[in-house]
Amino acid sequence: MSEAIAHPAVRGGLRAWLRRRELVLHLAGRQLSSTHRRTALGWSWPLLVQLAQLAVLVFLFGRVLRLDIAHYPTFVFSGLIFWAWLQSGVTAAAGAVTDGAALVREPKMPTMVLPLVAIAVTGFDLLIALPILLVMVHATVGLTWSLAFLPVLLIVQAALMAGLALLVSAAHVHVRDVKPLVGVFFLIVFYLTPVFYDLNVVPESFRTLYDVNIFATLVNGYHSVFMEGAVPDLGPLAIVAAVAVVVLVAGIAAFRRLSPGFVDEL
Amino acid sequence: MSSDAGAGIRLEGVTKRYPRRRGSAYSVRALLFERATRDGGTFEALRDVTFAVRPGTTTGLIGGNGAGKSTLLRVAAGLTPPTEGRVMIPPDTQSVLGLGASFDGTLTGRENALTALIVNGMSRREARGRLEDVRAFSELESFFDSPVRTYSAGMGLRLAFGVSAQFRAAAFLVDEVLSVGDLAFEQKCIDHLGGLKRGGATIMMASHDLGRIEELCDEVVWMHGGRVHMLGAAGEVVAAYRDAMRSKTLDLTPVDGVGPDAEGLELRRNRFGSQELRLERVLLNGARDAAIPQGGALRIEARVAAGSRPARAVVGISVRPAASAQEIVSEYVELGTVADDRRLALELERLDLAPGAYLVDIGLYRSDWESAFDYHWGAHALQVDGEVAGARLLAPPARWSIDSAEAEAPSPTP
Repeated sequence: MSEAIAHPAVRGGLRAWLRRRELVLHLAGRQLSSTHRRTALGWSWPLLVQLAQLAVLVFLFGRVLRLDIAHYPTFVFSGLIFWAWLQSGVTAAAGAVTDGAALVREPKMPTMVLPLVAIAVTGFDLLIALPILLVMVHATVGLTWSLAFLPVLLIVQAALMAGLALLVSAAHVHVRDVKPLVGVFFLIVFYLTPVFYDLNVVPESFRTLYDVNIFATLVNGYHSVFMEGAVPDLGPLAIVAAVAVVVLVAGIAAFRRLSPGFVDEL
Repeated sequence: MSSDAGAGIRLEGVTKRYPRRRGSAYSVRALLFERATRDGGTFEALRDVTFAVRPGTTTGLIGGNGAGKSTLLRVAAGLTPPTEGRVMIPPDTQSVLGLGASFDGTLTGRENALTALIVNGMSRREARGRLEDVRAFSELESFFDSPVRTYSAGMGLRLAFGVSAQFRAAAFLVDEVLSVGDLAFEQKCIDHLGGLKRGGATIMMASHDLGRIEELCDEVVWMHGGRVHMLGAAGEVVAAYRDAMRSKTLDLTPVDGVGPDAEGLELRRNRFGSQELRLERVLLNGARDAAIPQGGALRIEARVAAGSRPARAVVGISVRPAASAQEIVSEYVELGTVADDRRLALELERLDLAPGAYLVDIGLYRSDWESAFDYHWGAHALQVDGEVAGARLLAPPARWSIDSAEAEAPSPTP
């Protein structure tokens, strides 16, 4: 093993990766501090947005159109914060290269870092919301060992998001309709994903729609980890993981192919 | 792009084509009808460019606007891939291309510098430690903490140079950066380039400033229409380029047969150029001709009279001995688009020229330098008074000091 690491190509690759990590952390920090720099509520803004969304959903489906789901606020929040990461992360990533035009003009800038930074930055919002979710779960259904499965779900989601982010950000440079399309896509898919309702209320005839919706599988996974204290259904999750790997590989390949031309398109 | 060229730079058959787009091509509609939008064909910014910059030498790129100099540097820097051909360049190449085009206007100079240092390979800790060096080099003082959008072109350039000065580069690419009208900083950049050169770096630079190119470069590539028009020793190529500019200017100069005007200027004798824009009331220290003491100051002012159509222009001023064409001082500044009359002045704080007779040439050129609008050649005399100093050109303030060496040199202890 030590021989392999000593090989210049491998070492260069490792160093390059380390440099990218420094760059990702720096750019993410820079974006975080600039986003909330001039707001009175600063860091709490993304959380407040999620809590407002939660309040509306709880009012509508807990009081007006009763869905009769136990511990409904906790149930919604345990899907909502992960959905929010998915939606805001990929949407932000779509414009990451075009918005980062100045950095793209830096000859040594590894442009692939830009969409990944968008995911890291929105991941920070998730990090702030997560403790609140844990408190809510603790106060209602109680925390269980199934939580140990959370990292698996997060890794699958991160891989899926990274692949999507690379695809849409590269495509958006060439066709500027991509970012609004991504917005519309997530707007629709939010309602087709059981974030604020349970799969049980969906009529049998529509179930296929939910079987092919990989985001539904992910959200169901979060619901079972937090609300049911159970390890998610591994079969569908394995398929999502496979899809995530395919999307990631495709995303990297597409980005590599398209990125040399970015400067000419910006 | 591979990196097997030692520390030299090599371009082999480099061609760069851009699609000629009509209007906005960034939409689904454009994509669907791509063939229709792109039948404007392609635009060839570079065609079959082949040359090498030997390790440790400096090559200058000259030519008018649109000749391909900037595209060539962008391709060489790896910013955009060549359509055909190969570029070989050392991996640790630094580039200063465009005046801070890679900075984010909403962020401060400090924040941009930090990002640029990290992008170029420093760790965050290392980069933070270098910020004060960048600040010192760039001489931005309190502007270092202001948003970059408040910067002038010259300040953006200072920042870019300040960042790149933090790296030991095997090769250095510089695009037209000596034209921001900031003479003190220009000298600093040139000193920096000289230091890199002495350190063995390979340099490729584009500039309109032919005097500087001649002074700094070993070889020069004259670009024209995306091709290498001429390539060779700096003095030779620059002389050929000057000749071409001169004959083009002469062709454009109207014939009017009227004798010298009130300012002593006569077309085709000491005044050349198309006269679309004109230089008027050129004054040296307030008069047509000037006499200054050795080491005295010289203020050259002129009025730029706008023509019937706005045009982009540059002004160049040079000083040469009356009996020679060798420029001793050469400065120029870009005016941008001239639509109304302008006044301009160049202050030379002290001219340490040897006593003698000199001439001040002043030219108003098209922004691509291809020809002159108005060029006053040898029309203004400058007399430098002082003790006669032989054949030399410069007479800076000089003072000898000779002391006993004993106080300084430690004697060997027995």
